[in-house]
Amino acid sequence: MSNKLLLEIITPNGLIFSGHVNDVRFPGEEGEFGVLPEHTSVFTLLKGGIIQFTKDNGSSEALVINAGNVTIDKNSIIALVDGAVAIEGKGGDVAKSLNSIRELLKDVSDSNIIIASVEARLS
Amino acid sequence: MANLKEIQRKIKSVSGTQKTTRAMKLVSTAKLRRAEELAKRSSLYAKKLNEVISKIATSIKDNHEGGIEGLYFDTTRAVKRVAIVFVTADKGLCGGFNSQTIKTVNRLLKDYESKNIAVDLHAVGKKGFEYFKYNKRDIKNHAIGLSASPDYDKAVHFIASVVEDFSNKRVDKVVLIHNGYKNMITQELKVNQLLPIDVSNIERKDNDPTIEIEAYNEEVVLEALLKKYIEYNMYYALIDSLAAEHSARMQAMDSATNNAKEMVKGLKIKFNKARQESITTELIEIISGVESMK
Repeated sequence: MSNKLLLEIITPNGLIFSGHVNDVRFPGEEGEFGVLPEHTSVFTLLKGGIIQFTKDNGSSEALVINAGNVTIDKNSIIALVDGAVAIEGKGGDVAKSLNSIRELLKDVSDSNIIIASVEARLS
Repeated sequence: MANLKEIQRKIKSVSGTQKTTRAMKLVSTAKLRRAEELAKRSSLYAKKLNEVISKIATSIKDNHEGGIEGLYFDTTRAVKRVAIVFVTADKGLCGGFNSQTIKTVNRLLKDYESKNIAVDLHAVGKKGFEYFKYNKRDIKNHAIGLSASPDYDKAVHFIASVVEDFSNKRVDKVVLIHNGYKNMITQELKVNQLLPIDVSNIERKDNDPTIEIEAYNEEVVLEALLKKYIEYNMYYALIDSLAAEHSARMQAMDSATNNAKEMVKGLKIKFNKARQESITTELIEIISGVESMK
């Protein structure tokens, strides 16, 4: 498993995701960045946006966060975020999930762009 | 001869108390479950946050040889004034839960005062606040209702003034005291030095890569992380303390219920004896009356 990344996404309410992933994209404070295995060890802040990752079975997942930080240490990634909502849902659930995303992002400045990209992803 | 009515009244009152304590125990058990769940979920975040802080701190130590720079990590600063932040419950009837915390605060107070160090008290919870107010201690800041329903924003608001004092160098050390949850039957008193962050005993292996701070302005990033660390530790202390409070109350109410049960049992025996006695006396009176008429 040395060429796999171990991603942990944790909120104050508990563990959101923990598992091996092939790649991750983070909404960094100074712009979006991607992480692949053997990434250099880095710590940085995250702003409101979408975390996107590909699990080791090839399926891709995404979730919206409002703020947080990420520590990349060798192949382990610890993302500590304040709040997170998974982007998922079909039919009636879409509206529900969009509402919870709007609620999550109400303090984030450019939330409209994030919501637009979430909508694009869901449709 | 004990008064029968009197004993009956006592039995009634004690069993009333027993009912109350049993109900309180049930309420605490239900609340404990929720608080415990919350504490368990948050403990992971707290643990990881501490891990990140120590990783970053040791990296800074590597980068700047000759000690960690920065205000928050400077443990060499001479201590002239200490801020003690302590968490107690708003309500009593939970055994030694509050008094344990108060005792520890008192001990620290004496300790610091003997070293001529001034102390600022910051109280969360009515019980601790009232105790120190009654003892005519100056309390710099207090919050009531926060320990019964922990709220992140309120916790942030409460600790902000303490952090400000520390940054302005009005206070040289911040200690956080609370009675934490260990398991259903034990509580553990926790005394944490919140500031400055002491990383002297964290060892980093040589082959571990140092973590770079990826940002235009390192200090801003570090400050944001430290702020989060302090705020979250405060919030976690509240959650942990709430879970401990409920477990302590559950235990206290359980033993109170048992005691009441014992008391009722004793009183019932006493009542029966007294009743028997009164019957015997009455019989003797009747028999002696009959005897005298012969």
